[in-house]
Amino acid sequence: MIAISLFILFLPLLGSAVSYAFRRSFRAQVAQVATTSFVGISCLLSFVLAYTVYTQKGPIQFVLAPWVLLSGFSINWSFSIDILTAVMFVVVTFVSFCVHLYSTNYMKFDKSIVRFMSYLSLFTFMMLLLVSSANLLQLFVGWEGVGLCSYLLIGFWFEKDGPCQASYKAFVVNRIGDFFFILGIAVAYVSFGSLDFSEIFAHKADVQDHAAMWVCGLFFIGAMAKSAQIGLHVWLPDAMEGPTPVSALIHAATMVTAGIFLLVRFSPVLNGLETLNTIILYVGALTAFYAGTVALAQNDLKRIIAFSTCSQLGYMMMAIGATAYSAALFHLVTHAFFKALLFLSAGSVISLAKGEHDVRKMPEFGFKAPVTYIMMLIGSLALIGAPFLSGYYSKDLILETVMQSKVGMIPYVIGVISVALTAIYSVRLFVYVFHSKARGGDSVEINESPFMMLVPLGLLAIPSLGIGYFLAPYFTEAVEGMVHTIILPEWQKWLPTGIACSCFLVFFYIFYRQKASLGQLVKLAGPVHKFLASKWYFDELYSWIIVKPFQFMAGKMAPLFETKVIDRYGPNGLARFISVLFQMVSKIQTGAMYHYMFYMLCLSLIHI
Amino acid sequence: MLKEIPILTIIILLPILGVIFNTLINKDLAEENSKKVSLWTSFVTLALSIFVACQFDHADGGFQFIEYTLINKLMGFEYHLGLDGISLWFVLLTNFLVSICILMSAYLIKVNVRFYMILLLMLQSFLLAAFCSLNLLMFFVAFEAVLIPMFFIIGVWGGERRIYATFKFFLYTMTGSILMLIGIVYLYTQGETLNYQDLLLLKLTDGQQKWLFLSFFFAFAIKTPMWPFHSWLPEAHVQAPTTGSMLLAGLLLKLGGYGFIRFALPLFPVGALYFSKPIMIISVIGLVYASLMAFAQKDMKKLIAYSSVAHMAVITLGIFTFNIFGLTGAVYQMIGHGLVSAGLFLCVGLVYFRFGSHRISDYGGLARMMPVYGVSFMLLTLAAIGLPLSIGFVAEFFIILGALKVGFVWASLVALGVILSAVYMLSLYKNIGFGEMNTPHVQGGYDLKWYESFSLFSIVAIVLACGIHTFPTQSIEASLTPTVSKYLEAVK
Repeated sequence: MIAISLFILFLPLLGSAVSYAFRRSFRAQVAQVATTSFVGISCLLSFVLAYTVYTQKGPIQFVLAPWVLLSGFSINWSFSIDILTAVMFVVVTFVSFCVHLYSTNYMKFDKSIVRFMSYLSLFTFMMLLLVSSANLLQLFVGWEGVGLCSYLLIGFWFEKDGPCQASYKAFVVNRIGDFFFILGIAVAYVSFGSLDFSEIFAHKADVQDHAAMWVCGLFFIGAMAKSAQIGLHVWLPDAMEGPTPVSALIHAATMVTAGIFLLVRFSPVLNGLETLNTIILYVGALTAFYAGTVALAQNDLKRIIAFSTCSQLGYMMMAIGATAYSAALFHLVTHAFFKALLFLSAGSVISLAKGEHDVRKMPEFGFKAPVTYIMMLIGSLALIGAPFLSGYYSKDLILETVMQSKVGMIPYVIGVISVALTAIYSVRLFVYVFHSKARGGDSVEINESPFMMLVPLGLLAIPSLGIGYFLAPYFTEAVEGMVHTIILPEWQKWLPTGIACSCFLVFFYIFYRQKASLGQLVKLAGPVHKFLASKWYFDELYSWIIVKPFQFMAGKMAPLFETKVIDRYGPNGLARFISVLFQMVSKIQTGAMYHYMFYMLCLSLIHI
Repeated sequence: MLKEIPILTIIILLPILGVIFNTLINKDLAEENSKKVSLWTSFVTLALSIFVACQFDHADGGFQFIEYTLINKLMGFEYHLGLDGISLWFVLLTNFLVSICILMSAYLIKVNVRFYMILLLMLQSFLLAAFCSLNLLMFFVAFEAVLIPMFFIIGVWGGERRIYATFKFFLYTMTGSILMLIGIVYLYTQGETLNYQDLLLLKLTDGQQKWLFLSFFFAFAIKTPMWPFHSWLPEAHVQAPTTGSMLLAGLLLKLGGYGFIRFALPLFPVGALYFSKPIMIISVIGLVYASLMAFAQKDMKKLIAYSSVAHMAVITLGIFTFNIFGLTGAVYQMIGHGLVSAGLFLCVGLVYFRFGSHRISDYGGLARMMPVYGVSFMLLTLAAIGLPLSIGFVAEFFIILGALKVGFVWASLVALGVILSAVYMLSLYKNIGFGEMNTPHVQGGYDLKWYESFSLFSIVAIVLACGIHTFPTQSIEASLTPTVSKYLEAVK
């Protein structure tokens, strides 16, 4: 079993390293086959591992090598494979495999495809490291590793200005989260006396509540940056400058859920902290609502889906706030599949539309690309929570547990409103892309994407359709073990689904028919629309309160201080002082005898 | 067997032997032979010091390979050498970096190569003497002597404003040193000895300790350099030739931190404790200030110079936490920063050699034009940011832990470096590595030659190795434990 986990972990790294090192020697196809097949093997092994862990009941832990040597603070490269890790392994490797397969075709004409594949595999390794690590510091290695790969992949087309700025922004914003996370790790060490998860959880009873509160609070802020929660989400929409497979893998399915994973991993400590849980619940609800509203008014295909991701991450955060960690994990899993499906379908759409991102300018698609059409439909329906698709089970579970939690009512209402928002922006996206004829989209020749690009879509569609149904009993059971039995009246159980479905149908009709009233509505709501389209002015706000003052301090204040104060009174001042001193001394030497006699007299007087 | 060979003396004198050989070379063949002689000398020295490191007992915190000869009892002048778990790594760092520098200078320096090599070897010898010496006077002499070769390196091969830079550099450091000399003389009058191990046992009153600490503090603070005594550094870096900058950032600055840890802290614990809070405040100011300055620079070398100031501020903060985490982190970060900043200056020097400009705005798209260069520069940039798997991460985490033991506020202030370093370093990389290759300056650049990539990747390899398995920390910790226990006493 240890061997299996090590293979799962290091195969992607091997693929990445080999393809990068020999990128000049071999043809590009070799690297593509190598990376894809290595991740594929990893994926198969992950299924085996998940099955073994599930049947064996109980985590395995092993140490690979020593890392930090300091008496009283020795940290090993150590791994812990429990059911949470196994689930994450399956999700990460499966989505990663699909994305690898997709990229071999999608990025076919890019001259740096080998670098691309290599980064993708490296990312997979880092993500696996993150989810399998047995101590906090090693988890941080994976955490930073995925951040780095995200940075490199957002800026993959680094000759263009947009990706450069976006990758820089992503790194710096994530670094702000890391600042809190690393502080949290340090505080955790001081208060728990160890960084190993097993020891932390064993000693949690001995630790005062406010120390645990500090640790978890700092972790939460770190998770907010990684998982794009409101306030620290600003990097995610910009990250869409990266290639679409990257958006699918990193900025939808896996990396952005690392924050959720961290909190789930740390749940034994987080569980008892009520104040913090309430905060998390509200932050999650606000994020879900915020991103849902903003997605309504965006026109960039990828950005709409990015805000949708942000919104769904909000749901996961809500589940964590409601201490329903299994529900959060459940939504993480289903979301990974259907959002990856949605993004890859969007990639197919974009490549068919010759690189057009603006949903208003899409050519008339109709049913000319049937597979893409159906895949996008499956993805959208799973996203809004249509009955019996995967999203339905997980989202319902979250809303039900939120309803049951002590502070539940307001977040629940916000959550239900966000369900409606989800349905509306999804339908808007879908109709704008595929039924643009009504708006006078150009009728051009469109062929379906190549077969090899559709295979991963099909692979992802299977779990998007069915995984919810199969896994729901297990996760519901786990949630009930954690919180308490969920009893809800029947009508309330169906409320979110009903709202979602009716919104979907009503707005499908409205958008499809292009009701004139809609245009008037938008006109009437002009300021609101502008507010939403500008993403609630977060970027502008940060520009005014952080970026501009920083630039002013760096560009104007500090250099002024350097020349006018430090140099003036420091070295130059000293030099001037000395020269003035010597000028004075030289003035004393007049050459007149009576002056010297006078000095002698003075000195002897002092001496006496 | 090893006990009978004065191995440290051999290591220190080998470069001098190289200098002698260099002076004997026939004029006609001077350049080629000088390169070979110097390269061989430095490699042999490096090999010997690696051998010493293998023989070294890492669990023992005391001094090893001790050599002692009394020269003049009246002045307390002894020839006293020894290695402990801290100086061992500085000796290795010195020999490694000087070897790389000689390799690089062999083709980066165009005029008067022989003299340049002589200076580098002299510098190496003085640095080794400073790191190995266990006599305060001997340390002081070596500490000062280091200035001389550096003065000529900047003054002869420097840029346009080299004269101003050298004088600023020299005056600044001399001012501090004079104060330290006064302190040393006073210390001698108190204890009649300048032997380090005897001085450790010397009983000083609290008042004496405070004044003595201050006199040492200025010398080391200027050398480190701490804010606000840093303004010689950017000037010196910009004017210095590439390998000069590498040694300046990689080794000379470390003398300051080393001085704090070796002398100022263990000898005057009460004094250091008394001034610790102001020094930590200065460090935090220096961190933020230098980061701001770095962000706004238009000159690559100045940017990296200010980033050095920022990193050294983190180190001084770590030192003055007085606990094992902060101190170990500080020593480890000094090694890490020595490697990384030298690597970054080399990166800058390599493009300067090709295109003749330090201005950031003259560059763009280097990652496309010179891919291997782009990769190595990126790796060093990430190491400077302190990403995990690099030596800087472990070191920074230790320092944060150490600061946390003093107070949460300190930890959060020193952790600001996590954000700030990313802000200025990635901004630099974005501007010169990414973007389009449309600037007129950057045309026809060729990728790294094998010796260039060898130098850069050997630095990267060590940075990674020390980050993945922190083998040096064991001996560093062992040697720092006595200092830390002194502080626990002083606090009481």
